[in-house]
Amino acid sequence: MPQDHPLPPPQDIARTLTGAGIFIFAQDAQLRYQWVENPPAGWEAQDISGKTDFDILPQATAAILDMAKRTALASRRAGWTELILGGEEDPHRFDFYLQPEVDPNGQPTGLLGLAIDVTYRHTTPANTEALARDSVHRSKNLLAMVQSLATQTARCTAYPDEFVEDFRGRIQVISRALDLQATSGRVRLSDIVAAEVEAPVADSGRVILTGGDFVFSANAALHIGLALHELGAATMQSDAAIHITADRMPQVDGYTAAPLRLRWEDSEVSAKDMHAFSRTLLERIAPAAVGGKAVFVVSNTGRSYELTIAPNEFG
Amino acid sequence: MQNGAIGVLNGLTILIVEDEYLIALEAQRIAEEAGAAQVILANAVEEVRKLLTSGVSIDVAVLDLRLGSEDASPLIHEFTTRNTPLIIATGLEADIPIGAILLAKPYRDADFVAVILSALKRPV
Repeated sequence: MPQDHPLPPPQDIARTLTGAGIFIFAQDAQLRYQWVENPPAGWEAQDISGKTDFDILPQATAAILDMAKRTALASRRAGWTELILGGEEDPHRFDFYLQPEVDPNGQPTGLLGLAIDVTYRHTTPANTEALARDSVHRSKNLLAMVQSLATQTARCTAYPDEFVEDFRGRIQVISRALDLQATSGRVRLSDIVAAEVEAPVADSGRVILTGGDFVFSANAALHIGLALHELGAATMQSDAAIHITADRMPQVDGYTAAPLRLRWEDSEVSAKDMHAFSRTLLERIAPAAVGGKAVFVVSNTGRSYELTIAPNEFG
Repeated sequence: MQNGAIGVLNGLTILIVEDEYLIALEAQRIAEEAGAAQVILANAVEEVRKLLTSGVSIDVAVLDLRLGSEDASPLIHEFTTRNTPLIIATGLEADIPIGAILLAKPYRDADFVAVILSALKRPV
């Protein structure tokens, strides 16, 4: 029987949480995490489940959180509390909503909670000045990158129309990367693929994304976006199938943790005359930016591109 | 070469310390078109330290002070103690130490060449 107000799909709820920067969780009476949704950057749900705050956080931070939660459990009353976590070097201010769960006898069985990072609401004039300086620095760096893109694109195109088309496409990638960063602060692989591959080919059925939906740093998101744009641009006029997958590699020398492998495979057979700068973006710029390596292979049956991404660039 | 001077950096080894590879690539292009014999790219403080202790001879270094989240300013002292001419490339002029030679981002080819010649005390 149809409902008047059907529940939204779980993925829509998850996306909303990501956009709002809200982390929700459930813990048992011993304050072991039972499940988490949209954990903070750098955390995976499976790394948290079954553990306490003392298992996953610096002890001083865990002690603050643990005390707030035990107070909520003891009072059996739901409510908001504001906590500063992260220590003096990188303090973050969070609003926590903690809702104790009780059994029919009134005994606490655990709690449900949500956390919102509200650090940005508490900026001081000194912070504002620092933010302004940082903004100027980033803007000038971005202009220098755009200038480089313009020069390199011009060197690889023969006609003004071709330059405008290629340059505009690359500027659009930067623009979309900034949008993604601004709306979520964290950028998921599925968002990059949707923006740089699915939307341009206007046929999402041609694009298959498998593996983990990893979250990337702003830097990695931009350069992965540029790489996927270069690969996707060559398939705009064809019906080539595209398969993108991401997974963690085994621990390898040179990295402090397991890096990520992003792999693109397609059946595009008419893109052998890719511009030199496109190949430079794929084979030199993208890997250098994400602290990894890249291998790009063109064959008679299609193309494959594999990009290794350093652990500090994704979560 | 755009408004630069072909050959004026002939024979030089130039170190570019920059975390944005697109910007480093552009600096490399300008230096090579102006005749640099070798352009070395680095994007982290530790990488530069290893390079300096390896004995490689560097004629001039172009340093971005912010390498991602890393502060590269401790490298200034290491270059000056080696008497290596140093240029600070930055988007924020307030960042640079007093007396340092500034290369303001974004820069033109001619700006890049001019500050290198200035650092080397060669006539522009």
